[in-house]
Amino acid sequence: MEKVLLVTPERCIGCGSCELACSFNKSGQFKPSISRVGVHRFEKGQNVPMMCFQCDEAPCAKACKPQALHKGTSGLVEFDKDKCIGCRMCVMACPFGNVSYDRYAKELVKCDQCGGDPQCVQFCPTKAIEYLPAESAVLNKKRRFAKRISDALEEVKD
Amino acid sequence: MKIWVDGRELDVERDVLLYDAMVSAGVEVPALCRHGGLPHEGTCRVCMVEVDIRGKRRLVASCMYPARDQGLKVYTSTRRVEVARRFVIGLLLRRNPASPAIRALADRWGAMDTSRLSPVEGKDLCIRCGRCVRACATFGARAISFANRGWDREVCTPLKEPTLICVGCLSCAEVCPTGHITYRESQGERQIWGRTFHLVRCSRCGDPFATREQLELVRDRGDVCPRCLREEEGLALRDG
Repeated sequence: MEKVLLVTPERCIGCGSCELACSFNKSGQFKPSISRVGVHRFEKGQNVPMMCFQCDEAPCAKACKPQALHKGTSGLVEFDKDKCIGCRMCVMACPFGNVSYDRYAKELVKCDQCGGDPQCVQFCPTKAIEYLPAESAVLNKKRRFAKRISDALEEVKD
Repeated sequence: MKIWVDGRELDVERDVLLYDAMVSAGVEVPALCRHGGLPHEGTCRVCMVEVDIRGKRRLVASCMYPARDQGLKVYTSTRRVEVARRFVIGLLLRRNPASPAIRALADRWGAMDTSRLSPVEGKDLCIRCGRCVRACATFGARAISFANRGWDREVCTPLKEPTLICVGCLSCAEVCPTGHITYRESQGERQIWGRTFHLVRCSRCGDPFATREQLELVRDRGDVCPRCLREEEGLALRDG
């Protein structure tokens, strides 16, 4: 069944375990700068971990001319390294800044849910990131989450 | 449909390219000009294999040969293939003796001695594979192309002048298999193909992050860099 990563910012303590687990799993290095998940730490102990939303109408996939990025049947926006020409249009197109390009490894830094076993979830001590089946309750929560972002982004634009 | 690769039976879909079929089956075949995201042109000839179609044998570039004959036999290491491959790699090495990519090929697959040939003048790392030209066309800019013929053939911008249709996306440099295409980036400037791009600075953090032309390709794209976008999103969540 399709599963989603659900973030509950209220539970995040900003320890950064997810970032370390992610970068270590992907590149063998403890290097938050190339981690697919990023924790933003604000004053008053408010922390928000963020990663690719796997959008339905993914702007990154639309911008990708060689079709290295596409919305797969798994529900993920899948990346095919073999097809990537390194034009970085996905990086420009993502409205959330959730994609970046590693020019040394010549690949995209984007969450792929670790192929079904997300390491950020494994190592999160407070369940701020959960990996749950895409049921209606979870999806509703995720949608509310997404709406909050888009509403706030509109405010920022205005 | 079924094809045979070095005596091994493979079940492939019709029209799948031999190179792709072989690589996904774990057969090692070298390639230089092939790129998964670009149309294939078969210019480097490094990926040559021998095919047997109803008793007729010939050498083909596997990166652009579609499997269409039931029971097609493919050989990747016959003497004929090896001689052809070593010859091609020998010529490439003659042209770019310093290129790490070509050296690695020669070390792995062998290279024919080409010292009897006259030396190449004006050595550069370009092997004229055209990956950069195809990448630029796929991207949609078409800022570079081949010019001239024979020994003078080279990749350049129109009339070798800095061109306004280049957006400075760096795809050409990213896909170049030998490292011939280079760019420089420092202090908010990016230089490629003789043109200097002044990078747009993020309206939030002030870091230079992309060319104006790159940003214009995305509708309603502001001047906020991806890192700050993410942070704004985080702020929005916190306050939401």
